[in-house]
Amino acid sequence: MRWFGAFLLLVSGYLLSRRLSEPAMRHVEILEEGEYLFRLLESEIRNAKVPLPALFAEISRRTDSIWKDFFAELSKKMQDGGDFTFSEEFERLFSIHLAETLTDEEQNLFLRAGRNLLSDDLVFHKNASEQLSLEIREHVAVMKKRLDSQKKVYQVLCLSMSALLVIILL
Amino acid sequence: METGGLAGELLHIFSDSIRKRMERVLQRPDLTEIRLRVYLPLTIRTLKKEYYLTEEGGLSCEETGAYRVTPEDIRLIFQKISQYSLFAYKEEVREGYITLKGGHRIGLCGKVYYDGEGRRQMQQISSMNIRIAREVIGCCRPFFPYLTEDGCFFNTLLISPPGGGKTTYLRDLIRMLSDGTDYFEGQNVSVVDERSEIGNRTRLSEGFYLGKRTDLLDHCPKAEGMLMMLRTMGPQIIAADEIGDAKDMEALRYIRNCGCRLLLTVHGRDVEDILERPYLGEYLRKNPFERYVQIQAEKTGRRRIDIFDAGKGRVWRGVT
Repeated sequence: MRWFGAFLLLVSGYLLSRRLSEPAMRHVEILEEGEYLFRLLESEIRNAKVPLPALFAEISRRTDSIWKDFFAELSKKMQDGGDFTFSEEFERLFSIHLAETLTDEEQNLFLRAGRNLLSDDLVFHKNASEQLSLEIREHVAVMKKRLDSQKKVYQVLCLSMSALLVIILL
Repeated sequence: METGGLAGELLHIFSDSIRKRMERVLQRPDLTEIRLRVYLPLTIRTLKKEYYLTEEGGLSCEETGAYRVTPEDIRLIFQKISQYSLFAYKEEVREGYITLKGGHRIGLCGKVYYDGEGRRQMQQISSMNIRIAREVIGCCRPFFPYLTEDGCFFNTLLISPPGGGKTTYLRDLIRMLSDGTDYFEGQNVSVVDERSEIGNRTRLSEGFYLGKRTDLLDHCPKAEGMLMMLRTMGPQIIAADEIGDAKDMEALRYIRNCGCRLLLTVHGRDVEDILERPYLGEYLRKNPFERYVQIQAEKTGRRRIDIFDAGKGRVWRGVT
């Protein structure tokens, strides 16, 4: 029984280390999802030339992440009309839905991509989309490296604590 | 389309300052045009008269106290009618118009420039003309029998000046030809709707009802579209709006040789005016249509219709 208890302590230590890494993993997932959705947007703009309100509604339907509410609300706001400029409204809704999740640098990347959506130059759209994807992917690569190191640190710490507890109790 | 729906179709495109003044005006059943020009009074045209929109939201014949359109108004309206997506409306803007849900056409005027590929573009929009689309079901009923004989539809050309109601009559004729009547069996009608005005199959709307045997090709150049429909949809009648250039005439020659009937419209004062045109006139002098329907707007707002045969003899006259 004591050994079984010791085993359980070590397993909890491991699970705790994973739990501590989860926020960072979710952050990376949100970034990757955002990059994918913007790439989808640019592709639809270039190929189907669907107007932005309908496009945002469609994009919102294709995701279950926190991007869903952002695109859904943006689409509704544009369809309802009102005297606003697109870039201001984009920024306002972005800060409501995503400011707490993303860093300032990450927000600036997506805000710039949002402003580029207004351009009627499809070549510019393509280039802007590729540039955004590149920047996001580089950023995610750096984050993933940091995340890996972080995960290892958490694992070592939690397992060490669990082992210490086992020794003390045994 | 009932005017009660007009406010719902148009009110949202205006800036706040214009919208609050336009609510009552859009309830009028006789509204035909709304003109916006930067720094000039906003004008409203009805079937009978032209008015200025007042600061209080009424209509007046006096310019003093009229609401003046600002550059911001034009910018906001343009943003909304293009749904913040100029990339999606580049072709329409190049042609100088955008069609809204409901079939209302907004003509655009501004500064023209040529892009890197030599294509015409427009920017700095300075004036707009909103033409109100009307669906008047049954407006062709009084004279429809004169366009047919023994179950066969005559090649027909509708003629009127801009804003005369050609498209409204065209729509009703298409419906009647497609659905049929007591004495005329419904036929397959192919419609080439270059500007999305006839059927108004916009992205947002299902558009006008054009008859149960009607096929609609939306947003396609007329000459190409007519030949495409002839080859693929097996029409008995082909309908299109505002023909006139050399390519259209080539298409007409081919289509008539295939035995298909035509229902077309053209801008013009009367039959004589049309016969003087460079391409169309030349074609019609050699290959006249069996029926010319001349539409003239009267001061009462009604339309006087004169129908002529190929020899320019009057077949029918009336007011609808």
